[in-house]
Amino acid sequence: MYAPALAEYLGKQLLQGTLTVFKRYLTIVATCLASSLVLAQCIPIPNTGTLLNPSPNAGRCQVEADGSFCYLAGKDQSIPTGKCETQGRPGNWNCTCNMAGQPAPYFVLNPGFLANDMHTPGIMSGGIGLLAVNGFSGNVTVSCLVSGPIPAEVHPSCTLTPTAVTVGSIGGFTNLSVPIANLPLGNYTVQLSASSDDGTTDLTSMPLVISPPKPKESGGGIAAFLIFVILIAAWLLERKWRMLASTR
Amino acid sequence: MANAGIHQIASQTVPVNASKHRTEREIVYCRVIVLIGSVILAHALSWEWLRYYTSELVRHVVLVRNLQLVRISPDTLAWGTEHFCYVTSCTFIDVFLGCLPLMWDLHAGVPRNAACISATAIGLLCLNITRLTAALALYRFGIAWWFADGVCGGIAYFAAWMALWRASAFGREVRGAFFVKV
Repeated sequence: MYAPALAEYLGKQLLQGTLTVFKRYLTIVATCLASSLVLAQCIPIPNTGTLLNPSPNAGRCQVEADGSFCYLAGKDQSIPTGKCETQGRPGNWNCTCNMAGQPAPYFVLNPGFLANDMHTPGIMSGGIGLLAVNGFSGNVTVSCLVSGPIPAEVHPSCTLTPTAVTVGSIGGFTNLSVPIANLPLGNYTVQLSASSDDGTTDLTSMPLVISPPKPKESGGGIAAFLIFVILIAAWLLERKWRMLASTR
Repeated sequence: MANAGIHQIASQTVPVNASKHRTEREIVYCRVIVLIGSVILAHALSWEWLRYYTSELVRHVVLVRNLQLVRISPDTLAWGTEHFCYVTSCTFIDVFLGCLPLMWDLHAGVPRNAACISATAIGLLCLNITRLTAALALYRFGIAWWFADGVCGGIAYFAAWMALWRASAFGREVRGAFFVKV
C-alpha cells in the first residue's frame, strides 16, 4: 500500500540530488572557463594608445621572460614613444601597450582583393596600398611570395609593380599580379613583406583561391529565344502589312 | 471503290476546299505534336559524341582565325581562363529533330524525303558552326557572352525557321490551311 508513495518519494529525492550535483558542476565549469578566458588575455593585448590604423603586428605588447615590450612596425617602441604597463609577476605577465610621447611614424600594408585581370586572361591582379601612419614618409621596398596549395607546396611567381614605393602623406600604392594559367586548382597564400630605409617593416598575407571557372554554355538560352520571338513577331507583322497593302 | 464513295459523300456535305483545309489543319496539328515530342526527346538524351564533334569542329574553324581554343574535357573548350561548355542545344540536334516532322512530305516517296533530310542536316550543321564561331568572335571583341551567343543563336533559329517555312511541306500546309480564305 505504501510502496507507490515510497517509490515516488525516492524518485523525487533522486531527481533533486541529480539537479543539485549538475548545478554545482555547471558552476565549477563556468568558473574555470571564465578564469581561463581572463588568463588568455595576457598574451598579447593590443595597444590602447593613440595608434591609427594598427596592422595586426603593430603596437603589440610582447611578453618576455624579463618583462614586456611594446613592438610596433617591427621595432621595439617601448622607449621613448611607447610604454608597456606590466602587471602580475614573472610567468604570468599581464600587460597593456600604451603609447606615450611622440607617436612613432610607421606604415601599414593594406592588401585589396585579387581578381581576374579583365584585359589579360590567366592573370590575377590586385592593388596593394601602403598607409602612412603618424606622418610616415620614405622609400619602402615591397616583396611577395606565393605558396600553396597544401600538401603540394609550390611557389608560383608573383610580380609587384613597382617594388620600390615612395610613401608620402597620402600613402603609396603598388600592383600585385600572379600568373595562374598553369597553376593547379587550390588555395594559395600570398605573403607580402615591406621594409623601409629606416628599418620599419610590415608583413601581411592574402588568400589566393584558384577555383575552376564556371563554363560559359553555348547554345543561346533565354536571350536567343527572345531574339527569335522578336524576329518572328517582326516577320508576322511584315506579312500582315503586306497582305493589307495587297487588299487595298 | 470505298474511297471514292467516301469522297462523294464528303463532297455532297461540305465544299471540297473546306474539307481540304480542314485535313491540312489536322496534319499541321499532328506535325506540331510530333515536333514537341521530338524536341523533348532531343533534350532527354545526352548526345555526348555529337557535343564532342561540334566542339571539335568549332575548335578547328576558329583556329583559322588565330583563336587558340584548348580542349579540357569532351565537351569543354578553354580560351585562357574562360571555359566554354557545349551542351545539347549547341549541337542543333533539337532543331534538326524538330524539323523532321515538319519537313516530311506525305506526297513524296522515302528516297526524296531522305534526300531532303540529308540536305537539311548538312545545312543545319553549317549554320550551327557559323553561329557558334560568330558568337566566339563577338565575345573576343569584348561583347558579353550572353548577348553574343544569344544574338547569334536567335538569328540562326530564325534562319532555320524561314528555310522551313519556304521549302518544307509544313510551310505549304500552313499557308494553305491558315492563310488562304475558303
